[in-house]
Amino acid sequence: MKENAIEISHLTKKFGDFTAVNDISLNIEKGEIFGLLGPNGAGKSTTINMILGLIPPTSGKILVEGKDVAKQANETKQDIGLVMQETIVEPELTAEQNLRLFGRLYHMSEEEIDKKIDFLLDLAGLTAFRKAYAGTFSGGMKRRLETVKSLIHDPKILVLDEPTTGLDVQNRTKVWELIKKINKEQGVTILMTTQYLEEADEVCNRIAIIDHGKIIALGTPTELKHSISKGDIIEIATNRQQLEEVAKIVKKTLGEEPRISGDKVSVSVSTDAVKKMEKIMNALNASRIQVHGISMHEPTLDDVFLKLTGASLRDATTENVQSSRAMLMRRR
Amino acid sequence: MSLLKDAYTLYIRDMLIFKKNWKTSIARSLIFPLTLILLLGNLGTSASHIPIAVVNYASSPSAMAFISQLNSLNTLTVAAITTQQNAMQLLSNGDVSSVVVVPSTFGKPGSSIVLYTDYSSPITSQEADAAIDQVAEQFGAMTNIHSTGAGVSVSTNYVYGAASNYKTFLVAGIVIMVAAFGSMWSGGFTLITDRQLGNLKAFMATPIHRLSILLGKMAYGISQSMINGLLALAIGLLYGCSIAAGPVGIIPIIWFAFLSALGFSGIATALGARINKIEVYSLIGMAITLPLWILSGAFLPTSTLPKFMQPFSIYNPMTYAVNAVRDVMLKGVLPMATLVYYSILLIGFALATIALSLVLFKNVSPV
Repeated sequence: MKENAIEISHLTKKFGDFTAVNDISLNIEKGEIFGLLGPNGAGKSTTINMILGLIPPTSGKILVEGKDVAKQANETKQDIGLVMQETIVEPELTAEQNLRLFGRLYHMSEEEIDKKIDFLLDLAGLTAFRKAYAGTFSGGMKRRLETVKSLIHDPKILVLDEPTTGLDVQNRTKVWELIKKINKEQGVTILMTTQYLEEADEVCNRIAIIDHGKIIALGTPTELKHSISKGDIIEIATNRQQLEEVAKIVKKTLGEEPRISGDKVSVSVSTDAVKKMEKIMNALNASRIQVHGISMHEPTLDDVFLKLTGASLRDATTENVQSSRAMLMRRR
Repeated sequence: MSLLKDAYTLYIRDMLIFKKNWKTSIARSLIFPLTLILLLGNLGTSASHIPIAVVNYASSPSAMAFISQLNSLNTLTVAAITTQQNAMQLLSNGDVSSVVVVPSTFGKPGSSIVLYTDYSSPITSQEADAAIDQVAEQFGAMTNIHSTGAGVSVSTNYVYGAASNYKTFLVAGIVIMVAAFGSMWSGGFTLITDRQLGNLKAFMATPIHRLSILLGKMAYGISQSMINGLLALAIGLLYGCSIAAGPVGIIPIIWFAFLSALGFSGIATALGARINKIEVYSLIGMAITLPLWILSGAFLPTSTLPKFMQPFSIYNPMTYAVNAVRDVMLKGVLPMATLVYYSILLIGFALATIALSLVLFKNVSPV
């Protein structure tokens, strides 16, 4: 049996009448990259805040590296590094000052901090920008600095809350490379949330999907994808007025219950996907229904998410993140 | 004590940010006292070339000397008008602030000049009247004529005895109030922006006691307050105020500015612990500080406040800080007993606000 970095048992958090986290039990193994996915308000942040020791649970227990967060918060905090959703490196401080601040807050000696700063700036590829103010950095540089900042005190676990939100593809790739490197070379356990499901699919060893405060699915990305469909997914894009009609035809042709989301009708098929797609096309032609497109693909985490929570993760979160970002920009 | 060390680390972080933006920060600290002192400090003191009309019914040399003496004053611009009727017309048109009628008996015992004044612009007319009164008194002394007879309406209603001290009076109040408000608009404010930007969460995820965050913010607020207070004092001194107690008077001024800042740093952090919107914080901050300011007598003596407001000024801790600094700057004496009494009141106020802040900070929200 593998050792666990984080053990969560029967964790519950209530805010008044609202139950944000409802009796969650979960083990995160040492050295793995674990993804916690869920729509907004599902209880992800509340769970993470309790692991970080920022808010006390209503009931239940969290062990971090074998230590109880409720009783030994100072020790468990030394074991965890936090990378936040928003880029929170201080723009009015230099890269070095940003790192030094947190080194001191983790009660490291100045010599340890000096050594660590050299190492971390090198790891982030920012050695040349040691004395430059973080405010002058690009988004990707800031995020890399933020990521290595969380490593200043040699944590055993790294908690990443939406580490690549708001970054372009190139910078996202760089951040993921850095995170994978940290995981691999330093054996740091990674617990992360993200809204980019394809990234979670690629990076995470295991994934838990959380909704309404409960874990509704847990497993490797492949396990999760196969849990909803052994085969492929056929998707038909059409205009909204015809969605119902298309769904009816699909059901009549295949005998399977299709799902409707946005302007698409989709259906999981376990065998003979190509033939079944042809059948649908013929049936649609016979009914003289115009469609925008028809496609077939293997199930993705998006499909898993859609099936389990009834909402697309991206749709639910992007808007929210952007508006809060805009608000912060204004205030800054 | 790691609590104090962590507080110091966080304080240094805020001060480094301040240092990076010191030019804008200082400019921002300057605008408020500068504007107030330059605009309001001028009230009743430095007005110049106030137009007055003189009607001379006397032909004696002393009357001519009296008028030319008036004319030589920088404060006044004298227009010689031949008839009282024309002069009064100018007065009612608002072309002149006052009309001086020099009677034909000027220079003889028992005679008096007559002064008509437009009090719709009280500060200017008080200024003009004070100047006229002064010159008239000089002539009275030289020629044994009492000029303050019937008909002369000269206002001598000045705070602390002399009009030229209003500037000092005002600066004393402003020094205390910018010191108090410095805490409101730096310590509490950055607590909220730190929460909005996620810094607070990042700090709380480190193994520091959350009280060190509170202490760091209070220390930062107090530093800003002292910078603001000293800048305001410097502006005042450069602008011609004086400290009657001499240079040593700086010490009690700093002491009372510090106590005010301490009390308000408690209010600021207590608000910041529970409020996470800048807009709400500003609103509540204004609602607390502005009345305290007016009621402390920073602009006008508290005795001029309406009767129903007087108790509010008595229970306003700022009143005592303002009074103490004013005594040091204007009277030059602050008896030890008074100093101790005022200090105890202000320390009590600070302890109360800090206690409130401690209680509210126990459950401070990281997000």
